[in-house]
Amino acid sequence: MLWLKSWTEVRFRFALTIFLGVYILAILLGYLPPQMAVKLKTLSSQDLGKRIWEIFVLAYGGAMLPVSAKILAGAGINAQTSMGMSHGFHGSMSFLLSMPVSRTRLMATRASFGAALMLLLALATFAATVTLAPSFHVDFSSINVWAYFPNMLVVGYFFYAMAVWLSTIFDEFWAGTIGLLILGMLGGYSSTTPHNWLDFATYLLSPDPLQPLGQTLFLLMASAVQIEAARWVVEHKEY
Amino acid sequence: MKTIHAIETSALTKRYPKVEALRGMTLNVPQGSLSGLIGLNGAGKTTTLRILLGMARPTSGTATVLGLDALDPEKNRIIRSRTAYIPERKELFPYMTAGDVIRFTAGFYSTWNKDLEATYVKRFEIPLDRKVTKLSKGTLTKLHMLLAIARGASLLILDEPTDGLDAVASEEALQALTTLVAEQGTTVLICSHRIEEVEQIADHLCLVHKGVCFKQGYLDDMRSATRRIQFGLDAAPDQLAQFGQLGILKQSGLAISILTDQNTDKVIDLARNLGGFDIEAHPVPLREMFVELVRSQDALA
Repeated sequence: MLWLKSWTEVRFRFALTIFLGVYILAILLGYLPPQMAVKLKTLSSQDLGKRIWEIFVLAYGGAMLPVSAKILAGAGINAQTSMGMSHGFHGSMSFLLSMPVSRTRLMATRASFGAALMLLLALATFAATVTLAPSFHVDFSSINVWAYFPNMLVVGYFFYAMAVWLSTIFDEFWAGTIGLLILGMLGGYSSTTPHNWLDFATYLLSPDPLQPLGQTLFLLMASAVQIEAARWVVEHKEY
Repeated sequence: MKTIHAIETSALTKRYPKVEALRGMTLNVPQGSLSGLIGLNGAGKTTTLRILLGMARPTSGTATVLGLDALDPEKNRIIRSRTAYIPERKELFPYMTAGDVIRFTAGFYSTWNKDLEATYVKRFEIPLDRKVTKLSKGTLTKLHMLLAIARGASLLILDEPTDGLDAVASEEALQALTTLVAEQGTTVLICSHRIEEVEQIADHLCLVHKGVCFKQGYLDDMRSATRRIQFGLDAAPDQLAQFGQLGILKQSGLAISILTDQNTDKVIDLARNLGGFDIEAHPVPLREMFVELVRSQDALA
């Protein structure tokens, strides 16, 4: 039953994240290649493909996927809106909490469902990008594209865990606002202060999966800590 | 015979940073009773219910529901499996239809009664395929009522259950509750500020004010024990003080009025001994009793 609830509250959000994926694909494959081909005439098609791939990895893995994570983690923990960033906590929380279910299970089911959808979304977007590229004369043949997928997922789940944690403390409006602010700040920090554990740009562009290992472990640990923090908040919160 | 209580709280206190919501709430709700928890807005009714259902923790005190410690999270989960709750804010999941909400709720209770569900869907005219956000306030309240009744709970905790209902629908809902108590022996605790409505169906009352239950008992006992005694007397201050010890005293010239609980005979005897005249004792409507008791509590504070 909790899976049904998770699906009904997140389905519109999932549709929105698919739209974001389609939007970035349209720009990446439809708009960008002709523009870049004109400006970078000297580049071979493979080099041009590498440039476009880097843009995809940074734009999708560093921005769109974290934003999608925020959208997918939003409803169902404190707020109950399927769309929009509403202020305040929904009245149905009292009804939900009166059910014979532990708060940890409520949160875990909802968070797991969102995480599964995020995996599906990332896989679909990745696969669509790779599959559709030849149709738009974009050449990714010199890149081992799937090698980039694990790192993108690790970063995506780091931000997903953050969104889950924030949504246990704040209402949807503030959790969203603060989440996006942190994403912007980390993005800025990452671009100005390379080669540290919060340097997402270098990490996302690493051609070796889950490398550097230290950064991978740090991000996975940070995600686990944030989920545990969310569980703690949910268990101790008073409604 | 010892009364078994479905709900027992002892000296519950709840302090928030800027307000003391409960100041020693001691409640005893007999099993199988239809009890009313009556108090003004902000009296601590909802806070008490939240503690009973594990949504808030008390600063101090104890609480048991259906014989289980309500402050133990695991025991509270068992309590919730045998309890139905209608919250004060009667919102439900906005992305679900009425039918979805019923299916969702039914899934948590092995005791869910399909026949009762069908009966009340029909009686309350619940449109199953309509989103809950599109339901009128009254229909939403009825849907909550259905969800509470059909789950086969041993205890129903209802916070302002008739909020938003018109007179006819309200009557229907209250009728459903009394039937449930009569047929299944379910304990019902109704939290309300609508005294007349509660008086209509309740057999047990807890009167609360400023975080304390200042009077509780069976309604019939309260009614028979509480009297307003009116008489004429040219009383001296020390004589008035004697009456003040037996009940709530009001004086207007020679006219004296005492609202007393358990002390009717003593007040009449004292009035006679002091030369009182035209002595009359009247039953007191619950609302009047509540208002005067609340005022006397305020005066004591």
